[in-house]
Amino acid sequence: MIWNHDGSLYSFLTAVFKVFEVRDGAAEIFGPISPHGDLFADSVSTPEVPDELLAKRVLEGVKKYGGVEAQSRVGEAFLSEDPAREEVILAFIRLCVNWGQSSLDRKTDPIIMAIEKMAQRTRRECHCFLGILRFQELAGNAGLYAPFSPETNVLPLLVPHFSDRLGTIPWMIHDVKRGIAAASRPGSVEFFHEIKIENGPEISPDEDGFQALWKGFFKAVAVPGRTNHKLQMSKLPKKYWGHLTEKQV
Amino acid sequence: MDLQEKLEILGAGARYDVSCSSSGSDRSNEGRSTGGLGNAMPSGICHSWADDGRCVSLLKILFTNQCLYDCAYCLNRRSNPQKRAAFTVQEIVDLTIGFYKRNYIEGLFLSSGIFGSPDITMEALLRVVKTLRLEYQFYGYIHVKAIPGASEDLIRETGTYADRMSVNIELPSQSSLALLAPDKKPKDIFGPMRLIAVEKEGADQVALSLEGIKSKTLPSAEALAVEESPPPYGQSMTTTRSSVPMKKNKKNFVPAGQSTQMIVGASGETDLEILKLSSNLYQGYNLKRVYFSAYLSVNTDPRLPVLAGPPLLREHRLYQADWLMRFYQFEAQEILDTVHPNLEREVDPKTAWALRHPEFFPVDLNKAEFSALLRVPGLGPTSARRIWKARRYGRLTEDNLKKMGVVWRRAKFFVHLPGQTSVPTPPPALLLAELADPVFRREREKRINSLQGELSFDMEP
Repeated sequence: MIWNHDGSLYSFLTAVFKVFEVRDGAAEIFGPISPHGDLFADSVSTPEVPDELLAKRVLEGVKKYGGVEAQSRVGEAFLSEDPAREEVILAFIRLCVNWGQSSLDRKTDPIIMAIEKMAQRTRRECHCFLGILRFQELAGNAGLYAPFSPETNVLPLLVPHFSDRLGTIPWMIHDVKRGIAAASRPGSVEFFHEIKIENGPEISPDEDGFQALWKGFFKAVAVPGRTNHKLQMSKLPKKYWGHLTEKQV
Repeated sequence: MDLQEKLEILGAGARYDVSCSSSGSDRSNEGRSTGGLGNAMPSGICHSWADDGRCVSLLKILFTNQCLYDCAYCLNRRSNPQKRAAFTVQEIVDLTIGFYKRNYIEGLFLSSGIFGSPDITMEALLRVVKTLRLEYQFYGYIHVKAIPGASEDLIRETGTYADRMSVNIELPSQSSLALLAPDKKPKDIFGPMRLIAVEKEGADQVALSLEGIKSKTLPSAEALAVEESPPPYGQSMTTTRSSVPMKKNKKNFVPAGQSTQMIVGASGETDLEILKLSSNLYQGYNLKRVYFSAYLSVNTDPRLPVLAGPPLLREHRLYQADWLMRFYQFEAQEILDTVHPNLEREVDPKTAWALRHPEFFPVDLNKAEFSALLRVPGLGPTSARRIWKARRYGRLTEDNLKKMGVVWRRAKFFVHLPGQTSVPTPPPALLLAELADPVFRREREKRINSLQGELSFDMEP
């Protein structure tokens, strides 16, 4: 049977729940990113409405069968937005039910290898952005604002770290590519979808000064006899330079 | 002098201190709802990479580049006509908070030239750290240098606020230190190192007992207490390395431990002497890292060698050897000995060991001990762990080994897979050529190609 989800994790997991509920052994789940066979254009079903309770039951089930790490892999692989993610995650969940806590140890299995690869992409990019996300101070003590353009959808994974780190300072992190953002609220975080900034955020007048200080420090820190642009480039690929303060002219 | 110029001078002054680590501390924002700022991640976070390829994760600055001392190799030495600058405590605090908020840095790395006296200098550093922690509720990462010769009380107090402290041993032997940095006496360096190690042991013990865990026995207070004179270079202290896991340290004293640094290539020690010293430092002082800094000629001085450029390859090989000791369960005396007192140029130390010990191979990947897996060229701790787990559930083949991250191109000469005919091992000279670092293989090929052109008959590459 063909199933469909709307692109959100909960919608996908709702579909997974129903696949297991009706014991659909030949299930295929498609979403906005996965390539649809055009042959199936007529019989594509409507996307599952995300049901939080059902989705959480799936996650708890994965944890119960495969362990806490297996549960993380499901989320990380989904966020990788790899075109084959639905197929691999569904197969992985089936494996967890069969193999139990040792599932992730079976490193030679192709499904395990596939999901680890997807999850690793997401985790690596997440860790990278913990470092290279750059905030700007907004005018009038409005807080901090950070735009960025990740390849995988790491915004949900960045939020806990920055929420803790910045404490009471209001902040917003904006995934420019996907038009989504997260902003701090007293005691919680609010997510926005389909966000577009019309007349750029109003930046504080001190911001230019701080950016100049940082750029100056960044230049001063390199040891002249050891210039190695190749090494620098391999650690800091050009694709990330767009929002990076020290690489702005 | 405006702040921009100060920052550039004092940032440039601190760049020769190579420690970039922001790891080893696990802290959430303890003032999260009351205006606190910052946390610390155990793995550390790299925020950027400078034009020399090195990671930038901390605001690494000198309090001042004034200095009373005249160490031969140092840019900031007293006799150099440098432009001198100094921060105020408030300037450093504002920079740290401002950069931290914008996610440019994980925290502060504060060093200094010696002004007034070691104690006056240490007091200034302490004041910065205290202001950040107590007035500004800063919970980010702080790495402070322990000024050689500073009083124990100041160092002790600083350690309660800092994540990491370090003292540079500067040179790999007492004689080199006496020649090139005569103002720095060994006891001024090793005294603080010992103090920090002992205080940290004590604090970690308290943390462990608070959590109700039985600790391994530590040496007694008598064994720790000490000799007024420091142990000779290369000889370890009587403390044993405590296996305290990294935990949220309720009684805080440098949770991320201490490290040190030495210059390589400014004096005549062999790699063997350097590695033995490193190994003793790790064990005797419970260091987290020993850093090597390739000697960079910034001063003209008859006591210093004249080199074409910094010995970067030697530094690289030493770090590779350091990794072998810390992650691959090698001992210093296995990597080098009196017959081979220096690391090979063209191959990494692990491959060099493998070539010298053909009796150890081939390793049966299905049955070997974990430590044996680590000895195979092309296999690192990550691949070894994957093999360790996977081999219970499935047959290891060349294909899935490659997918698990094994560098088959190197490993194939050293492993045995059941059901697979082993690769015939080439004669030692050719094997060495085959396993050399890519840059040397390319050199060799170029040489052979040009020779071929000259001699115009075929040669085996």
